[in-house]
Amino acid sequence: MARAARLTTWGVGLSVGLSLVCFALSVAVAPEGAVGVVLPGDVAGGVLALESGALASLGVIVLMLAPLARLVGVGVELKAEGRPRLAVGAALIVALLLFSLGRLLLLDELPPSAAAASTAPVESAR
Amino acid sequence: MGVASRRTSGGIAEDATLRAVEPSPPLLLACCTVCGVLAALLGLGGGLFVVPLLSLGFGVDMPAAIATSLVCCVATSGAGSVALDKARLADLRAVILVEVAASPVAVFATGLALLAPQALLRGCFAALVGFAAYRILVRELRAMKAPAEPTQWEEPEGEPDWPKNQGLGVFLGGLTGLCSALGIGGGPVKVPLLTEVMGVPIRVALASSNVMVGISTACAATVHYAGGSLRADLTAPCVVGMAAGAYVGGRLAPKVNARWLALAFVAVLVYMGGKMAWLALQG
Repeated sequence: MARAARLTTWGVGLSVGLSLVCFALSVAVAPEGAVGVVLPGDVAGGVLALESGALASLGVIVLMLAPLARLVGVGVELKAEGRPRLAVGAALIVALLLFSLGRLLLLDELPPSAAAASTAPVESAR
Repeated sequence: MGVASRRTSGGIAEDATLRAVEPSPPLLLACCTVCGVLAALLGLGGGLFVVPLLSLGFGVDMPAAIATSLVCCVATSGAGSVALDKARLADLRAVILVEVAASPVAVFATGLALLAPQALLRGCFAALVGFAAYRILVRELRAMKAPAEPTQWEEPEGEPDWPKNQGLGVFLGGLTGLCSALGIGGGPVKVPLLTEVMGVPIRVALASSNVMVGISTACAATVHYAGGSLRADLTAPCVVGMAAGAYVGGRLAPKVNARWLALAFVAVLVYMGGKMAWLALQG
């Protein structure tokens, strides 16, 4: 159980650390004006091209793994403590978070407010 | 969006009546670093700072400000829970009991909030800010009267007698999920729920609330991601600034008497809540 807790802490720490690196890179390459995030499917290409929106999107996706890792760890610990019903509760929240993240993969495009800006960064508002 | 909002040529909405300063990344980074320091000194997650900063200070529309704040809350909660893991204080049973209700409510309420008019969001935020100000004031006044807490936490021997009132805790936990729809982790609501309803000791409640905040805000943030209100140019500098500020604030916290800072923050919250309420009434 102690090993599971240690792994969870490492997972959460790694996720937060990597996301901060992505966000810092996104700030470093940010153009002037509003920039939207991109869909997970477009992240890889955007990151290779060092696009601010894609780097921030990667940061958000990696950051979302932190609560996921925490919940998996909590579920494992609760099961080991002999509390299967609470472990099922943890599994349900994991499923909800995975469903919310998975829904992003099914989207063809983001609503216009973000998608338009991610492909065409703009100058300040007129 | 109300009549005060407009769209840039990139299609991103901003509030024309409120906009005073261009939200450039270096400026956001600096402002959020200061907010992160203050949040860490006051024992808060940061949502109470980020939403008013972006909405009132930079004229960003409410959904984008809320989305940015949610991602900041996930980051500060994750970093905080790693630090708190050393003491392994969080009560996992309480976390799951509250979050099993709070997370679905957070997702549902955030979906509704994306469709809600800005005036309604501002009105709800003003009410929540008023409640948070009241809670902080009560906490500080109690701390002034009460004797100093022991610095070392002693884990109870045997099975702890908390969480109590589990059914009521789950029900009220669901209501705390509503905070995520307004871009706030909900610490000022979750901690009293844990201590006063579920009988969890304050130190355990603070650690548990930290873990809970990360879970419900992550669920809500994914809804904003899919809804297109997440902006890279706001999120990236705010998260980096808040994380850096929280680190500095965490180092400063043992050396600084934050009581007067907390009371000053209550005054700021009252002002921000009043301004939000005024804007909400104006539509």
